[in-house]
Amino acid sequence: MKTEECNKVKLAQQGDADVLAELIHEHYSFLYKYLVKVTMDPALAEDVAQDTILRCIEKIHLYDGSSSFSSWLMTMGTRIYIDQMRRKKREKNWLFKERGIRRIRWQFESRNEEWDGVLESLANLSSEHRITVLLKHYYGYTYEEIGEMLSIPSGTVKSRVATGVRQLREEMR
Amino acid sequence: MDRRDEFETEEEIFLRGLRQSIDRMDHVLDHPSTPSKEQLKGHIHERIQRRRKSMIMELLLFWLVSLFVIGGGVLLVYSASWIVWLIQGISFVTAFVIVVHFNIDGRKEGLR
Repeated sequence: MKTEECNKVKLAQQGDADVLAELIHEHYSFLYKYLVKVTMDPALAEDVAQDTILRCIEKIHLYDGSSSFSSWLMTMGTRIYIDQMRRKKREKNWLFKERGIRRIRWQFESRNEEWDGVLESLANLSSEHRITVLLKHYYGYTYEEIGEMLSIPSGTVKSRVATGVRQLREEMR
Repeated sequence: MDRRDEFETEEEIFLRGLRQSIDRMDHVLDHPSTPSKEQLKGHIHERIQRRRKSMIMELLLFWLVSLFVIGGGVLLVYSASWIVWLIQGISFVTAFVIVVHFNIDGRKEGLR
């Protein structure tokens, strides 16, 4: 972790609200963009990002600096999203999923950008596979780090990543 | 190039394409309405106050329960007859003697 960020975190943990607000402000956009990829739904991503920020405010004293601040936020955001999915079983409801993808497609079409097959396949993956594929192949975390983030064994992560990539490639054929 | 190498290269090409598509999605999507620092400070103060309130409530409850338990204990002490204290004393001394006895026996066996 950068020294500057480390100092900010220490001040925030000591109760400096200005510094904590600054830290969150700096990382919000990154967190939101990560959550859009995870949820494939901009509106849901914004909800989860806000919940993550509130949890961050409450738990900042528990952050030990073993990972970067952004990784810590990503871990909390991912866990909040997984919990929500479990509680509401929203993922089983295809309507929710479709609505999220439609919102992203709308933004693509508004900018005359092509919504390609890779993104369609990524959106069709189950969230557990999508999260692991993103963390491994887009954000570059190791299997062990992803395991710690999701509280699952690294072997499970490895198999989820392999399955996810295989499914993506099969859909692309 | 053997089949495994070919497969890995294909996978690398595929993953590169995936990363590019995701990058593109990042650029295309609307920027989030990031809350201002003032708004965030408001949330932080609100949370801190809420936590402080809940801690005060917990402390208050703790003292109420403690007072109830201490009060009950004091009442019991003053209302109990001398026979209760005799029985309590005898059972305490007996338990102490048994524990010491077993301790000494255990040590002796350990030395053998």
